[in-house]
Amino acid sequence: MSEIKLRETQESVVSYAGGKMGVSAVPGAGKTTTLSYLAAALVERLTAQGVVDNQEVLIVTLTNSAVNAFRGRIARIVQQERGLLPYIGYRVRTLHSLAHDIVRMRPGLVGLSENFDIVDERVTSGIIDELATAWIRTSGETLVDYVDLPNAETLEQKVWQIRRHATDLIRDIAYETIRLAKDNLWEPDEMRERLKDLPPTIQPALAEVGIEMYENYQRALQIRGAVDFDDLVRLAMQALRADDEFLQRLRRRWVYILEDEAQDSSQLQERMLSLLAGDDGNWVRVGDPNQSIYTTFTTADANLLVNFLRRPDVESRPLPVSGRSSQAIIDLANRLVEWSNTDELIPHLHGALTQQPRIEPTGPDDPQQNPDDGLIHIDWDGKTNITPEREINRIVQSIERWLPEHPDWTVAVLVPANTRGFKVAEALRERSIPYEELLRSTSATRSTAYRLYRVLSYLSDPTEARQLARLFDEVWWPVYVEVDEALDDRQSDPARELARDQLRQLSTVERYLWPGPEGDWLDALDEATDDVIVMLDDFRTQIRLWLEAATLPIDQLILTVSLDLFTNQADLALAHKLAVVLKGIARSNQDYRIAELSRELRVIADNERRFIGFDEAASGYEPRPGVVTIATMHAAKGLEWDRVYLMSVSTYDFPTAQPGDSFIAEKWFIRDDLNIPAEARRQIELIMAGRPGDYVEGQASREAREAYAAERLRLLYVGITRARRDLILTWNMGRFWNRGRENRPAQAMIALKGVPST
Amino acid sequence: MSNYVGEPNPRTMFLEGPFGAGKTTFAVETLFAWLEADIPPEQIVITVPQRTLARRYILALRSVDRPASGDVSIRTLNGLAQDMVDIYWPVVAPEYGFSDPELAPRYLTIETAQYVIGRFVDDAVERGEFEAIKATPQVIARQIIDNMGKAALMDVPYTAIPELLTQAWGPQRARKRVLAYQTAGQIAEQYRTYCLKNRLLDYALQIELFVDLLKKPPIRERFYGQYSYIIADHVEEEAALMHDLLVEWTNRAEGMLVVADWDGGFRVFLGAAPEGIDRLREACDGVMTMGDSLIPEPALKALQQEIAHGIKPEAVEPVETDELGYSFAFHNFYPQMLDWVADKIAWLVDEEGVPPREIAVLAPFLSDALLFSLTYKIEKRGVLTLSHRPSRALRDEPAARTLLTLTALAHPHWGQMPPQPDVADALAQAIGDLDPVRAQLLTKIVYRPNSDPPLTSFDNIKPEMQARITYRAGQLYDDLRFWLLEDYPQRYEGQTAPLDHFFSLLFGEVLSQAGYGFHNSATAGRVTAELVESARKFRQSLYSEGASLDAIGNRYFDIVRQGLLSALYVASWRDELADAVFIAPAYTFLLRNRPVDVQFWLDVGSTGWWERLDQPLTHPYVLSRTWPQERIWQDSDEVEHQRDMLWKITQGLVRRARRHIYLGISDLGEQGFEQRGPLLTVFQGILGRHPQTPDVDNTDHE
Repeated sequence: MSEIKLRETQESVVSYAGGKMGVSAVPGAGKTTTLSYLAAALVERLTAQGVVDNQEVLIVTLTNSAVNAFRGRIARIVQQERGLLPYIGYRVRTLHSLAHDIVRMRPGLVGLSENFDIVDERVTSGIIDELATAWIRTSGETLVDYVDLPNAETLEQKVWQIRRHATDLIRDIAYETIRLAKDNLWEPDEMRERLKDLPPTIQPALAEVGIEMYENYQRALQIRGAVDFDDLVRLAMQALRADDEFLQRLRRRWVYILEDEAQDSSQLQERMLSLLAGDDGNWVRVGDPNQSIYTTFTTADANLLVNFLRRPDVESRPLPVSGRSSQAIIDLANRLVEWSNTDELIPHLHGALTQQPRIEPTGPDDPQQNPDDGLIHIDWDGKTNITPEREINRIVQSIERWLPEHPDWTVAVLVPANTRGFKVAEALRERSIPYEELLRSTSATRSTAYRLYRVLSYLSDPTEARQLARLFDEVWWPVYVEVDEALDDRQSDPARELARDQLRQLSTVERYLWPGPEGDWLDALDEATDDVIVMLDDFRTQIRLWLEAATLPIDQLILTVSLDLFTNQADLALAHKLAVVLKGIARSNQDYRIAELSRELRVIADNERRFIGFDEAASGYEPRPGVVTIATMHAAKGLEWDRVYLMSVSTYDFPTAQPGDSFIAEKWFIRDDLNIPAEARRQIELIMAGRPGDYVEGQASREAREAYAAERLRLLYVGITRARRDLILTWNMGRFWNRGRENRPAQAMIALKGVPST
Repeated sequence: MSNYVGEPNPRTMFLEGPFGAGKTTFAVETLFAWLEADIPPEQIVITVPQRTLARRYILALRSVDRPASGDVSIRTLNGLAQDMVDIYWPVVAPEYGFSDPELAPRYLTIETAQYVIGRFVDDAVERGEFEAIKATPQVIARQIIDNMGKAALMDVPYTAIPELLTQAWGPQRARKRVLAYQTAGQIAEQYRTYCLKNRLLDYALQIELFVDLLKKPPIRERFYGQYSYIIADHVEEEAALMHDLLVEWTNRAEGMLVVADWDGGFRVFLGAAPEGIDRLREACDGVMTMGDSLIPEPALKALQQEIAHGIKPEAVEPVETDELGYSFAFHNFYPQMLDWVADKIAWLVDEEGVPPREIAVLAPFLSDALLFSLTYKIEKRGVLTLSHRPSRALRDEPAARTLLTLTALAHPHWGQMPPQPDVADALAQAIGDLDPVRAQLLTKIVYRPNSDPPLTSFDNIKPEMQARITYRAGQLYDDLRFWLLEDYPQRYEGQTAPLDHFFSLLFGEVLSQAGYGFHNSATAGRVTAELVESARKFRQSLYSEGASLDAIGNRYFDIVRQGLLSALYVASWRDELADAVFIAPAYTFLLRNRPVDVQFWLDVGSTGWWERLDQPLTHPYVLSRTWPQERIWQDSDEVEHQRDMLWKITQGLVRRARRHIYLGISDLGEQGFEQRGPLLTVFQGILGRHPQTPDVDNTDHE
């Protein structure tokens, strides 16, 4: 018996018996719930068959926090609703952690030792930056044919300009090539051979750059004895292909494969799961092609799911009914789909959003009824020009008015990019409006990094009393009151302040931490109450332990500190990840000591570098009434709020690939609006396909524009479908409106306003 | 209970049984029976696969209640080989092609061998010849050296290794791997040529020379004739070559006892060939079986059978009883599991009267962080701990880092001035009364890396700072400073001493003195001794007389700092007798061969309980005499061997427990990954058959 009553379409998915099944689920259709019940039903089946010790349901999803959410949810269902042991009979993984499992089972098959290293994004980006810089220094003239630099006439001038501006471009080519090669399981030497075999008439300069970068990158990893995350997937594939018995063993173990977020599956993921499932195996793919929003910077491809759903051997069981949003919002989302498929001015975007299934509202007996219609406002009147600052002001004013009247509602401001989100956060902070961020790194991630930074920062110079006071106040005290139930949170506040102030004034740290002949500083504290003394004594014990641990290698030091600081699963997992990252940094920089390594943590804590924690994705986050969530539209996926503000819905962030649109990947100093990484990619694809002669310059750039525009359209769709009752769309003219580069409202926004597009 | 089959009064006897059946006790009694029968002790040899397994014999031989027996030899295979090579070097060296064979050989340690081969590996990696292998050059080097040792133990030429590995890899798989095997083979040849040219003897060469010597009839006679009475213990952990020697001895010995442990074979990665004991059994006149372990209580014996059933249901029946002698606790997080272990141990010691030395905490892997946390948590509850763990980089030992930092300060002309945090750390370690805060304070004041001298005297700093640092610590600092910057250079008249001498002097004259941090610190003494030994071997084995001591010292300093040298911890007998909870990796505990009352198994969900040490350029099973040539190593082989390993480990552990086993299960492992290993599956099955409630359930689902 299900505790939650499933609707008919959901029950139909849960009753799956075997074989290949595709589930196309609209936003708010209860995908995670349905998939969890399906997993629980399959675990129950394995248990009944007496094979649960040897066979498992494998669930593959997109993010770490989705993994945690699924694991917990399935555990609850199997234990509380089915009376089975939790965590047994199923395994939830991301593609990369699944690959890690596979490679770990047989590392020797793919040339790895049992204790192989996986390098983090921080290390890989460091390698690529170094390679790109070196390349530009020595080979910059290769790009001369591609630049359009009106102020540079001679070759030397052009090369000089290239060296000045094009490092990012080379880095982008490297990323594009490495991703492409790994997704296709191409080895660097194999690509080099293809290049060598080309006739002299074909000289694909950009492909050569990419392949050279790929070669050097792999060499750099090898010297470190390490693999990157994409290698893991590639190597897992290699292992499965290298030993058929191994593949058969895994097929027997993972007898059902459930794939979540399949619209963001890459070709490699599809190939791997297909191989694991086998021709006659059990494979369920669940996703929404209209929410495929990771195609631009990854090799994800929504068409893979669409094609799967069309396969004759695949049974399709859609989930079209959604109880999340009001009828008006559902209509708006469906209208966006219809417009994008029919507007004559954008034929190249027809198909960017699929028309089936349309979102359907719930029926009268549905357990989760749609909310009543609320406000839908598209903040465009065709006349008023909105500067970026004004857009933020209007939103903040609106929230300020609305929030006190709706204390039980949840609300979000969704932005297309992190930088915009930071500005909104700043404005909300100025008006003292409570908010939470789901931006580049989440507040929680940064807080974990920050707390570790504080500890390390103090350990790097233990004579600093002010650092010690901050460590006490910002890091240790909150942990102390949380774990010590005897202390009342409210009452201990003055004690905290007193203790902190005393520490700040401490002129001789050693007299407190290691009292010598001159006596114990604590004994001389006249003003302190007993609880302050006890607290400071406990703090001292902790600090002494950490100072003794400071002789450990950095990864172990962080793990040790984190064992004292964190009990939360996400914090511990993140601390581990930080430990691994810092270990890698320490290995590459033998001169680094705690001070330098703590600064790396500071960079993460300050949000200067993207660092994916374990608390980021949708399913781990619960919006709170009365607190504004600021999130990117990407990070908002899977979440919902009563009221949603969608910001910056302009031609810059939501282009339609028409003349006048500008694109991030197109650089001002490159001729003919060429998208150089896209052109490099196309050259390589054609070389590897044996058709290098088919290359037509500019075609890949155009297609990249169209693909980007299509993805942004889907992003808008995701944004719209986050709202339950109220939805407000706003736009702005962009930062350069007064320099002749003015953004206009996105065509989609105009279309949704009901005005024919012009 | 024992059972004997064979001739009455056998000359050679094979004794087998599980751990704890009394086999070694029987062997010790046999030894003393020989001695009491006036067999000359020098005619007796006891062979063991590694020195730690000789502990019972050494203690018995030292016992005052027993007859004098000083000349009884205890040897490992390597010891036997080295004895022979030392004696017959002048015979074998010219034949083998060593340069200047009239000069003495220089023995390589694992580290120095790795250093020698390193340059050849680096070149090949640079040329991209190891593209198929994702391992650091150091790891590649170790595997090539390891392969050469394995070839010597198999008595096949090391040049045959690439072909053997290639055949087991199979023709269907990636060709690049085969190229890597070939490159490894070429490097082995380059390295061997270099060794011959420089009279360097690594482990493989010692064994090869030994085998060659045994092919010479007079030497062979001399070797086998030196001992007439042989006790060979733990033959299941010996290499095939040792089995050859023992089989030959069964024909010659006047008295011989061969002792084998069932479920042994933990040293397969080091070349052990447990399957070879059948030959020895056949070669002996009689076979005695001691089939029953005297150690575990009935409930643990039932658990042993249940685990065996879980691993090999086709071979072992489950038990009826629910009395299984174990309890378990579920935790979401690793730290929770460690707290539970510490609490439980405190309870066992304080409430149940279990002596700490009767408790062992075991995990498949023992990271520094785990050891650090666990030691802290247990000792905080007033119980002492003791740990044995595999070697780690010398650089990671605080005492070694201290010595290196002080070395750099005493040799400013090397241009390796340490950063300030290292100096503060070294002072905190070196000066007993100096805590990290005062050490930092002192360093900020006295250390100027770009000045000459880099350290100023305590006398020159302001009185209020002197008071803060304390005069006592200041005095100790000044003495240390004087020794480093004035006393030592003057004694050597401005020249550099060999680094091993420097370490010895610094330790002996300063750091081990009262008031300094190494005073009465067994760990610091051990690490110093290792550093001295390692620096001496490095100097003596790799450099000839007259080489620049500055260059040698500087180079050695570099490779230790880069983490290329490992600390090799050999347990002392005093440690063995300490009344402390033993924390170790499961393998280490098994090879220590001492039962305890209570065991804790941590990380039951870890896959480490059955993973073999996987190295892409070597293979413990393929590189053995029993692996059929041209057979491909398949996944079924992998699974079979892993299952076998899990069997051996779990059976071995339960047999080494007398009263109870506690299982610590944490959902997420130390590294934050979900734990789903096969041992957990085995216990899931046991729980299914014999339900019991957990000791603690700290799991939640959200």
